[in-house]
Amino acid sequence: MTKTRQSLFDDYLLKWVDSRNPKSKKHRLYHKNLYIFPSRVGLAFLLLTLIIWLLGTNYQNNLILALAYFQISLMVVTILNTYHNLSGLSIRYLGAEKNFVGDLVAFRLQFFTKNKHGAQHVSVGFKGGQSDVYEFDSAVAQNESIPLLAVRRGKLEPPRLLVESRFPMGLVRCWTWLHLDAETLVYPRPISCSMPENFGDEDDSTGATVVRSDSDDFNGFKTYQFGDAPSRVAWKHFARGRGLMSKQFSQSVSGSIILNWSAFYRGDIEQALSKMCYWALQYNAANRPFGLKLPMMDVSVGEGEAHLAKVLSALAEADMVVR
Amino acid sequence: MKLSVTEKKDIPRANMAWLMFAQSVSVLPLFFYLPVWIAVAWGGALFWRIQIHRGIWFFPSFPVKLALAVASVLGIFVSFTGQISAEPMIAFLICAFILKIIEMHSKRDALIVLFIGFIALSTQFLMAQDILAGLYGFFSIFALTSSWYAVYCSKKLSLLNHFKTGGIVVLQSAPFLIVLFVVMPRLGPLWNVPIPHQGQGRMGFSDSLKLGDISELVQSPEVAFRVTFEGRNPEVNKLYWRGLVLDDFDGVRWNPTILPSRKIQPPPADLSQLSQNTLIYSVVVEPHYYRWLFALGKPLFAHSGSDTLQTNAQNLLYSRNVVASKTEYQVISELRGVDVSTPLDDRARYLALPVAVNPKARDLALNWRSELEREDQIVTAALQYYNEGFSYSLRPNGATDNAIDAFLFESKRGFCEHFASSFVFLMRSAGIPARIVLGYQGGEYNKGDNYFVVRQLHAHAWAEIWIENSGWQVVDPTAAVAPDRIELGIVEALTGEDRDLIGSNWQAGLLHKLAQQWDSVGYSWNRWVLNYNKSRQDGFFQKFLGSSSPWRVGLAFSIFCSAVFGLYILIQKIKTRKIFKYPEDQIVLPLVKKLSREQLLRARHESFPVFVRRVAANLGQSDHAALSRIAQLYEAGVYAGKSSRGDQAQLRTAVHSFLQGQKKATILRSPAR
Repeated sequence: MTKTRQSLFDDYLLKWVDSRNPKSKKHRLYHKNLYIFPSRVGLAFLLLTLIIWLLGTNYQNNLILALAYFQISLMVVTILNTYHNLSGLSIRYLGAEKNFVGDLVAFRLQFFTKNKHGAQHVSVGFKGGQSDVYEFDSAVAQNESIPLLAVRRGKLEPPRLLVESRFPMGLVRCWTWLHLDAETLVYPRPISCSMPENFGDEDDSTGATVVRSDSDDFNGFKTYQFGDAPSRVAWKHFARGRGLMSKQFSQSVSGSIILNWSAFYRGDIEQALSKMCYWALQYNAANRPFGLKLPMMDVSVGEGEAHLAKVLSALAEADMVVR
Repeated sequence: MKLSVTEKKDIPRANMAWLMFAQSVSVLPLFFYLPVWIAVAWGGALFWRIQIHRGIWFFPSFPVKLALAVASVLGIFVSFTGQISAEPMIAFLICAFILKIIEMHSKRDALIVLFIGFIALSTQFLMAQDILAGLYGFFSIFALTSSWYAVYCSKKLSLLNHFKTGGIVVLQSAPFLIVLFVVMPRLGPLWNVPIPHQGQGRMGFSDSLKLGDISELVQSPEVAFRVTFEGRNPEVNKLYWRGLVLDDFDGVRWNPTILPSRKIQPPPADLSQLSQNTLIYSVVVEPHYYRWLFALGKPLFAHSGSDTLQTNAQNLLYSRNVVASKTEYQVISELRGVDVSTPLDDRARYLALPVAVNPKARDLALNWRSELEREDQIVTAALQYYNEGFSYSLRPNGATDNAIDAFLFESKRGFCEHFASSFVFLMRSAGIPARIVLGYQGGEYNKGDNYFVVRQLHAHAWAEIWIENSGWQVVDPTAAVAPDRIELGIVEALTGEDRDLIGSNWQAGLLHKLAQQWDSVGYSWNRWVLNYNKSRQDGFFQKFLGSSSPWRVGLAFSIFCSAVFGLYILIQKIKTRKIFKYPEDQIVLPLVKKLSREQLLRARHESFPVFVRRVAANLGQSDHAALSRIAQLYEAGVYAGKSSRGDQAQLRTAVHSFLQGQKKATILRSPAR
């Protein structure tokens, strides 16, 4: 309940933030997109100021009162100084790498400021992600990779980039939420598995071409798992009382293969895509040509890094509806 | 550059020394008031931290920290047994402050140290508030602020840079500080607080008098209070500052009687109603840790911003609490209080004398009583007696049992208290109600700032006698012997060796002049900084804003703040203004801005002339011609060598006239698109 209320508030807030500072590849920090508020240290400092003010009032001591007023002035001046540290900093989105679910995706950003003292002690990080502290020198373009944990397969639009600084006194926090016009792809997390049994069977209604390796080599045994094709079970083995085992075959190098959706799909879409991703990587590592067959999309047989990228993108963007 | 976790969390190693420096600065003056072992502990803690910094020793473990904390609490307990005042609390705070520095390493620790530093700074002000303390406090603020900056600065700061950054922040805060100080409402004390220094360091005379007390006092040039008169200054010989009335003589000591006191009214708003015979003045009294205050004659009205003032039947002025800090009060006094209407209801008290002391003096007085008819004749006879063969001296003979007899008939050398007490004794013996008044006489005039300094050496004792139909009258028997004491002051009244006693040449020469200058600065500091209280604030508002209504003050405050902020924005604008390589760029800027408002933007690869020509291509005949001319003039100025002022003026008129023409019609919004 509170959670949803919180997220509703967040949505509303972000809407307002975006209306002031719309999505863009490049942002320059200035008064319109910088927000400022006393930090916890600042609030403690105000409490200290109150204590000192009470001391001055109770002892009717003007010097102590003056000290309390100095502290308030210091707070005011610090607001301006903290703002100055960040204002004028420009942030440009350069690009992002692609990565698998569960890995960190690095967004490459370029920072530049013309401020005489640069921008010091700036913490940068995506909302909800890890943030680090950076220092930016004056008039030097500086490229930094800001990491974000990829949690879901598919297109990744990063959440708001939180740029924050409490320099020079830590009394106030000056920050901004930037809506970066950035996007990258997150591939399924590869999950190792054995090649499915009915792999390549001509049970597909589309009747797509299946390149079947005709020279499968026997590769060894593995313990039987539920779902292994009965034709592959080593019955002789079982008859000798050595337990239920399945025979494993490996494809010969010359054969090319099409990873077929229907062979991998066992009721869990993500699981299936992850397994296909695993095998795509395996084939690529072995320098063997392979293709991909998904319900809505096919990738013809090919090899090389470009081909792999194409296949992985297809897997990343695969939009499945369970029929 | 990405900072490592240590860089993020810890105090930059290079700037650690600044924190130690700031702590030392803010804690040093307190060692004057605290037990010595705390200073030693401070030295030890600092040494320990330096050794840690050098990698020789380790940070203290938890048991060690606990032991240190317990030891300091015990130390405080032993040093301040049974004392309930501010000092033990300050000592406790300072101990925490000192111990914290040993384990300080993260930014959070640094902030705690700095915060305690601010409290230590405020206790500095609790202990001393003179101008030197003020200056030192300012320096401490500066040290604290610059060290604070160093905590967050990951680069090593040079000495100059360190003070520069701190100094800039302090200077930036100064205007706002001053405004807040002037404008913020002053409240009275919200609750009672223990006062530092209580019971010690009491200044001036004590609340009873034995012969010889005052002569010790007048050997000190310390300031008792300072006075400014409204209007004309009265003559110095009229300045009898009444502090305390002694009416109870036990044979050796004169003691005061505690009378019920009542609240005294503050001065009325309309001063024109007052009679001619009144004086209006304000006094800044140094803390003396007694309740009495000093006033002339009979105080009619009195007011202080910091405490409630009271008066009693003897027309003395008191504050409700002991005077523990510099206190300012305003008084309106009637100089010759003629209380004919009120009879003396406790006549017996002012006639009481112990039996069988000073028999000779008693006989002398009874003799006068029988010979002379009127009371004023008796007074004259007594003063006459002093005039013959008595001398004024700071070194009278030691007091014996019948000290007054010894003084009147043997030594005949004495100081004001001898004259006053023997006179009152004589009067009472002769049946005239009399009492001793203790206070100060005169004052040192400071021409520069038009005020009087009254020092301990002005301490004086005189007599008041009750004359039927005239009330209490001031009689100063000292004046009969040493009129110079009253006319010129103590230093002139004394001779040779006596003068040496009170610091001989201190009133002569350049040094004295400097001292007077310095005192004058200190006096302004007292009046305008230390005693800037509610009434002074109201006065200030009256003078500069016309009234002290909250609306007016609030408005003035907001106007000031917006003015400062506006100035700030202006400076920022000027600072970030674009600086053009060619003056032509500055000249065509309005045109570029106008075009950009019309969504006609210069592409990255376009030079200004190319851009303008592109725009012109879509415009009508006259506009086209005007823009082409501007492009031409621009090219001539920028690309064809150095341009003259004339060329620039031409370009400026061209741009100007084009923009004038465009003002009405905004058809620039390119028709052909």
